[in-house]
This record gives sequence, structure tokens and C-alpha cells, in this order.
Amino acid sequence: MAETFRLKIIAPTGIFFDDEIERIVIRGTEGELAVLAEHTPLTTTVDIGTFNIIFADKKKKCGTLLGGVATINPRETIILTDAAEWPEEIDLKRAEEAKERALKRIQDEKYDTARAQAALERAIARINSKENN
Amino acid sequence: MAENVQDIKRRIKSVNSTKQITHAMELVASAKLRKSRELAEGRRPYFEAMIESMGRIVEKSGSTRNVFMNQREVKKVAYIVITGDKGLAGGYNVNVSKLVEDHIANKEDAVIYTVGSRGRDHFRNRNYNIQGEYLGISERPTFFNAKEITGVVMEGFKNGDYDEVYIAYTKFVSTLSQQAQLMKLLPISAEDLKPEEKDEVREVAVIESELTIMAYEPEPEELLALLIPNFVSSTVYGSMIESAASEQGARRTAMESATTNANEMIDGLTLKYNRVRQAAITQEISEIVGGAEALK
Repeated sequence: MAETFRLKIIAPTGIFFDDEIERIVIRGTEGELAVLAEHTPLTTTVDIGTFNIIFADKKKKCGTLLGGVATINPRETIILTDAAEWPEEIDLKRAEEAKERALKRIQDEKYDTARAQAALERAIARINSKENN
Repeated sequence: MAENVQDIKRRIKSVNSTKQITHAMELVASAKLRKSRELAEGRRPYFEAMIESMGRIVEKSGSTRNVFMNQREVKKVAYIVITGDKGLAGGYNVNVSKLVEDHIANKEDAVIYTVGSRGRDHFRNRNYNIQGEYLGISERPTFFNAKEITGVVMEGFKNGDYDEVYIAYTKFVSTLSQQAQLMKLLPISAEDLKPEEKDEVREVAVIESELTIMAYEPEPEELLALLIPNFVSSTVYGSMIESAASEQGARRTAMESATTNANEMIDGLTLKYNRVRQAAITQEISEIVGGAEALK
């Protein structure tokens, strides 16, 4: 059995995930990142996107992270995120509507482009995580 | 006994219906209070982890050049005032507004952002410079609400529109006691980031982190720039949530005493009603008896 480490995903509204896992793949702003036990200490930023967790018994679980910071230590990884979601919590229809709306707003000068861009990324991440499941 | 039996009866009825409303509000407030408190507690792990990682970065990078962490001469001051959208909560809304008003040295140099219509009305009536208002979120604030407000305020701070930012909220001491508080939000002082070394667990963690050298990607300075908005948002969010809990607590207490008062009034009025009724009966009997005597 592979070594495991503790993963904590903490959102402002509470602890989202806290368990022993074997591996997690996250989308860092500097590229995709797979974290295993005994990873060298690293603090890095997390982009908006999906994450995949593999438990010691090879069970998988995936979800969405809406940006944040990961503090990786050999035995423990803490991800501070703005919000995290499991696919079952995501409303596909709503995400698609949000995507459409964001696409329109990026074109429209009335709206804040950066915000629309962020909204678009969020919507895409949600749709992806839903479809992968 | 000048009062009419009918009048007293009507008053009892009206007090009673008011009592029913205040009692219902009390129950609603206690249910909401429970929810708000849960939310307030859920925020703590995030906030603590945030302080810890920021503290570590600041420790490593030494003095930071980050604009949000440097003191400058204070000319203008911004205030974020967190109040409720609704009244009937005792001194809850007024206390916060008063606190801010007392702190403002010069009306012209104060910029105000209000959360909740009560605070907005208070400052608008007194001709303060209200730069932003956020309505309809004070009962159930979300992290994204907090982030939005923080974004606006940080932008203003960066542009030099003001040199200090304070946040006024109501601290939830207990179900019965809430306290209006004023807290400095920006600039952040490095002192704030020192983790409170209360528990031994934390100290062990500190020793552990000293043994291994943490790598940063991107650079600490850049990372700090990313973390600071989240740190401030988290503080704002925490204040908003705590205020929401306080509002419900204050309303519950206010409504509880209103219900008690109504009960006392009803008791008093019922006593009066019975007396008046009894007096009327006694009078009637003595009249009848008097009449019968006269006929003899």
C-alpha cells in the first residue's frame, strides 16, 4: 500500500475536506501539480479548476476549486480556497447559463472584463468537473 | 372607574396581538441565530490557517514592500460600517453607527461604506460621504460579498483615496451580550499576523516548519500580494458573519423583553378589566337593592 498523507481543503465557510489520501492532482497557476506523500515543502497558488483525489484504496474523488493557495508539507497539505465544490453540488444548467452570460459580458464593454473572465473560468471548471464524473 | 369595560377589552386584544408578533419574531431570531453561529464557527479554521501561512511568508521575506502593509501619513480614513437591513433589534444598529461617528475626527476626511440599510440611513441623514452601500446581504453574507467589498476598499487604498481603513461591526460575545467594535483593516500590521501561541500543537508545527525549508512558487512577495486580499476578505467576512449573529441575538433579546412587557401589560389590564366589571356588577346590585328598599 502506498504511503498516504493528510489533505485539508479549507473554505471560508468551513472545512470542506479532511482525510488521509494517497495523491491529489491540482491545477496550480504554475501548471498541473500532483502531490504525493513526502512532497518537498512548497507553497503555491491554485488556479480555478478541478482536482482529483486518489485514496489509499484507489477510490477516486474529484471536485472543483475556485482558486486559492496550497501549503504542501511532507505529511500534510492544506489548501485554502475561496470555494470548493463536489460535482453533485453543481447545478449543470446553472453553470451553463453562467457560461453563456460570462461570454456575452466579456464582449460587452459595460461590464468588468476581468470579472466576467473569472466567472467564465468558474463556469467552465464546474462544467468540466460535472462531465468527468 | 371611569374606563369603559369595552375599551379595556379592546386594549387587551391589541396588546395580545402585538405580543404574538413579538413572540414569533423572537422564535425566528433564535432559529436564525443558531444558523449564523454555525457559520461563524465554520469560518475559524480558514482564518487561522490563513494567518499561519501569511505569518510564515512575512517572517521569511522580512520587511515587505507590499503597499497594504506599509503605514503612511493618515489624511483620509475609510470606514466599513456593518449594520442590519431591519430594525427592531434593540441598540444593535445604533451602537455601531455611534461608534463610528465618535471615531470620525473630521467629517470631510471620512469615507463611508455601509453594509445594511440602517447604517446607510443613519449616515445619509447626517450628510456623511457615503461611497458605497451594500444592501440585502447583512443577514446571510457570503464570502463573495465580502470579497467584493474588500476589492473596492483595497483599490481605493491603493489609489491613495484614503490612508487607513476601519471596519465597524458587532462582536458576538454571547447570546445575551453583543458589543460594537471598531477594528483597523488596512494597512495590515505585521503584528496581526503573529499566530497566537496558545496551544502546544501550534508550537510543534512551528518547530517542524523550521526544520524544513519551504519553497515558494511564485516568489513570497508575489504570493503575499495574492494572499493579502484573501486575508482581508476573510476578516471582512468574519466581521459580517459575526454581525449577522449579533443582529439576531440583539433582536431575540429585544423581542423577548417586548414579549415580557406585553405579558405584564396584559396582566395589569386584565386585573383592571375584572375590577371595572366587578365594580359595575356591585353598582347594579346596590341599585337594585336600593330600588327594592325604596318600594317597601
